[in-house]
Amino acid sequence: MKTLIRTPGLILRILISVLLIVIFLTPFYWMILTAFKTLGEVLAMPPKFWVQSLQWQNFKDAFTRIDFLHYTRNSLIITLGTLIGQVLVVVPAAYAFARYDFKGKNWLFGTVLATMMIPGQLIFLPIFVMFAKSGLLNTYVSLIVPFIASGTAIFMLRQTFMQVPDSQLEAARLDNAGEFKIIYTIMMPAAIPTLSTLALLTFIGTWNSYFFPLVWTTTDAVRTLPLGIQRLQDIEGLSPQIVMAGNMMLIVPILIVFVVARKQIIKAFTYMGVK
Amino acid sequence: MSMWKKKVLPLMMTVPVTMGLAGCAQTDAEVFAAPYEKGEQTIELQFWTSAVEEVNQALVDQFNETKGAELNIHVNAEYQGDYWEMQQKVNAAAIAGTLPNVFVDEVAMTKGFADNDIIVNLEPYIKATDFDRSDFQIGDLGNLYVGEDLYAFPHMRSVPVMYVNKTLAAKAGLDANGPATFAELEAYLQAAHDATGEPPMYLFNYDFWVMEALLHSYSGTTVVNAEETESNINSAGAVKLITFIEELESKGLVKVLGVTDSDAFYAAIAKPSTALIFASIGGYKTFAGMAQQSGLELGVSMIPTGDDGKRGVPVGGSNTYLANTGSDQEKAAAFEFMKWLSDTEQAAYASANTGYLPTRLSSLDTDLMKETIAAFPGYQVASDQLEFSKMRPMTGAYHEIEDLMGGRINEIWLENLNIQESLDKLAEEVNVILNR
Repeated sequence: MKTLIRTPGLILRILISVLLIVIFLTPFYWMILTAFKTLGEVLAMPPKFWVQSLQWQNFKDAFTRIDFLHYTRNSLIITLGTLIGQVLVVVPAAYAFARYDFKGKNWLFGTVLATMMIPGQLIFLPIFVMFAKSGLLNTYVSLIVPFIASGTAIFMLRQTFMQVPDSQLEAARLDNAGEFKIIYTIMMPAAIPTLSTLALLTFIGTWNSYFFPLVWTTTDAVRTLPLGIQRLQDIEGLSPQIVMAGNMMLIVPILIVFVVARKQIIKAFTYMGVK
Repeated sequence: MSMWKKKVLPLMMTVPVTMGLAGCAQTDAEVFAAPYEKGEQTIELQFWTSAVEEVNQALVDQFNETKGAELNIHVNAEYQGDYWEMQQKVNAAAIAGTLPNVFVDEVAMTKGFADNDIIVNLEPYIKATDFDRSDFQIGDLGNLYVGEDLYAFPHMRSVPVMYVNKTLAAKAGLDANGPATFAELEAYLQAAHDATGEPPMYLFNYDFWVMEALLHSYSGTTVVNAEETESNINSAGAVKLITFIEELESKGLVKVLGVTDSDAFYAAIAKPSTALIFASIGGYKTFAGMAQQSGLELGVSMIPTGDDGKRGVPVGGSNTYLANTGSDQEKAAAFEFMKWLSDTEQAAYASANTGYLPTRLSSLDTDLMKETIAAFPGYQVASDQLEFSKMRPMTGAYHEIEDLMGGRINEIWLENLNIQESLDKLAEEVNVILNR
């Protein structure tokens, strides 16, 4: 009887899950499918949901029609630079907000939270002018520095640091551990799931970023891969199969990072949810 | 991203530039400009390019190897994205003081750039170098001028045309040149529909430029009034056009495609059952190649005429602009580059390698254009259609307006809204933008 009662609910859950999976995976499937089609197959009406033969040439074209390695290198430098910068700035900031009492703390923390609510599109122009006046346009600095002090990251990490028992910190201080030692030997290991999640979110956000690299660069020197892929559209004209092949290559690093970090991410959300 | 990119950003970028620079427009045609004099040192120029990057880069390479080397001018071309991304970047660069020397952008932006002092009046340079502008053949020259003064050179120019599926026309016993008038359009589409059982025409209304041609030709009206202070989109002529298309759609003779359906629109070009498409001549070579892949022959005809033989087509594409930056010598050097870029051979090269029209009469006499027209006769049709050309609206807010109108009119067709009421409301929204 218990099984019978549970079965309709279970079936509904499975159906909803399948539906969600289909909704989320269909764009990816379509991208992959298009990347392997000929132009004729892409333009065919009604649309074809399979390919006759895989067109690997599309990937070769996407790779050679733009300076793919140059754009990829720029994307890597900017993404890793932002990640490293965030570790150096966000971790101490979150630690201070979580563990110190100082004058203006709440006001400062409120300011940090407020930055999360300001759309980047409102501030890109003053920042663009600032970089232009200081000669930093078309440099890696202009695409890394504005994203180092992330309000979201400070907020999430502060919440995690606040969960660490006071007794652990007191014991460390009794052992004459300095603040940096406490951060790197107690706080950061305790926050690995949160750090992994933040790192992944930063990686995805920076790697995929289109708007800021578009408006803050006027030469190809530091332009990133999403801009290169967009450029394919102009170079190739009506060739969505080549653009999709480029897009597939664009998302490969994200998939790799996600697969590597997925356990930590699930742990982080579970941890935050429980607390 | 796309919402920001297409709608909010142009507005955001326009407002601060307008606020900061309004009132500074250069109106002094009598200002003296010295012709370029070759110096000891090479003048380095920045040239921002937009659509058809590879052709622009090839032209710049040619300049640097020939005329540039002779004059000690070196041009560095940098691609900046599509026309709207270029507009945003130019506006931002104007505020930051990092404008390039020359840039390419859409034709309808001349007045907006001039009003904000982003580009310079070319008259003094024309006078100083005895430049002959009479060879420009782009139909209506309005989008080069602000008042009486020339502020831009034509670069890649195009007009909307009617592409005809000649293979289907032969099969259905129809005229291979398509309908000559809008009065014949319905019967033509009906015959094509009877032959295939599928929609014989697709309309991608997001490209509002085509609607401008239909408003001129079918309705004898324009998007905005001559002073550009008021919208005409709810006028009797516009209502008649929107109603006409809605009727064709309801009979299954026209399929209206939404904003995100550009791929479906281009796919329709290569579809054996598609009889007619209204689109830019700029895509001619690409479209012809796609049709050929599907075993179809694609012809080019003029946009049909309306009552009393009315026909009007907007001249679109891009201009080159001389930016208000750099020393007098750099500006003179930049003008030399603009002159070279618009010259007979270069205009022919740009046209033959794209689908855009040659911007000079003399280009039509080059061997390259003669060969191109022989292989692709649609160039000649589009070129002849320039006789009916009209300038596009000049207001700096026009891109925002055409985005709005494209979306709203699509809603009327796709959601069967009341036409007059919807267009009245749309006109009010457009008027707010025009008078902002």
